[in-house]
Amino acid sequence: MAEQAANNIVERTEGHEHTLFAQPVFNFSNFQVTNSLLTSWLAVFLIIIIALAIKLKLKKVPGVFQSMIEKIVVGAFDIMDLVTNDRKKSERVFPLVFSIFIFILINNWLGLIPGIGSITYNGVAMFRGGTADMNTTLALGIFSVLAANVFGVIVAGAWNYFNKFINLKALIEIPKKIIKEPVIVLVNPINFFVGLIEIISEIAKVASLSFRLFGNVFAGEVLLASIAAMAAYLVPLPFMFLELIIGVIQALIFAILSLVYFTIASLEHESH
Amino acid sequence: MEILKLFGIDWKLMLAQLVNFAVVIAVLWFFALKPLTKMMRERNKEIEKGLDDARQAEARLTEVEKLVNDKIKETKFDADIILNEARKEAEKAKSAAAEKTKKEIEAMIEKAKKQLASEKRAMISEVKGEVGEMIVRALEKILSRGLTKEMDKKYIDQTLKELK
Repeated sequence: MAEQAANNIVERTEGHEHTLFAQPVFNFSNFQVTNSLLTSWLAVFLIIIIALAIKLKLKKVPGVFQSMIEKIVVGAFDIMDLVTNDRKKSERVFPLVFSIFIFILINNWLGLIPGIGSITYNGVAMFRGGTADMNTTLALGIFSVLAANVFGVIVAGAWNYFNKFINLKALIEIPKKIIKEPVIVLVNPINFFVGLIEIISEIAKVASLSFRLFGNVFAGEVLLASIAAMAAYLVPLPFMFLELIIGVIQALIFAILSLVYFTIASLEHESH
Repeated sequence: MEILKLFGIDWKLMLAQLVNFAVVIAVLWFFALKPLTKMMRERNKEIEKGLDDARQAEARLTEVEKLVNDKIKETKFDADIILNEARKEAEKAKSAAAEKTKKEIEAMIEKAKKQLASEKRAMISEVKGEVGEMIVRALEKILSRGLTKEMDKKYIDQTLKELK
């Protein structure tokens, strides 16, 4: 059934196909190097070069390049402050969130470069957007949610954070307060159950993050290929710009949602 | 787990992507963001310090200006006092000199008057002496010629009158 579903989604354009999964380009002993992984490596390579350029060109009085980078960094901080309401908290999670944004953005855009999909190796496209592969988005999603939980443990303490999911505190409280507020017999078991639901919500976060990103980028690539198959000139252009914007927006959404998860994880037990 | 197959999910690939992402974080943080934010912070501090210094310098300048103005005012005041005193002193010296001169002149006049008076006296006594002699001589002459009684008397009277 899975293969059938995959075959239904396959698009045949210009000799190579768009599959839901990234295709292996070559094998490295028993490790399959897929085209998405290759693009991701390219993205990492580009990011390293940019980072080195920043490092080497760093001056107290900034040039044009440095001013641009600084503007982006300052803008990122401002956006993050809107979510966290606290510059210190923003600074703590800034490297993670900003790296998520940059990594996804470069991966999104690399898949859009015209003609990059037509470079083939053994009949398989060598490059496919790194985020057009569930492996990438799922890895990022799991990482982001796990990191948010780790952050929560660091901020709130292991016991407090554990009680957010398995709310033993609420159960322990019942005999203590039962004389003062009898309602607690009803309320705290509900709280305990809500804690269990939180576990599911963490899994839902991973799913929503990874499927949203994968869906948008993959759909964009399919859309571009389909439009290019219909008309090769001019017509794909607006769609190209659309996909460029979507690339930014999706990276931004992923990063900001991660930031929101970080913030929620660190807030939860401070307010109680 | 058909869905995993459908999306081609492979834990090795996910691990590879995680490694990619870890490299991205490390590289971005150590090469770009950390030095960049540090430099930006330093620059902000420097700009703040510069502005602060400028503000301080300005405050100091106005302070010094005020000080100078005060000093000038004070000096002017002192100069006025000194000038006034000098003027008064000069006036005093002038009047003192005039007084002295006046006194000297008065003394001289007095002296001259005294001298004049003594000379007058001397002259008078001299004249008196001479007149006496002349009278004696005249008397001698007259007597030697011999006179009538009336004439005698007349002459005597006249002479006496004149003498008086």
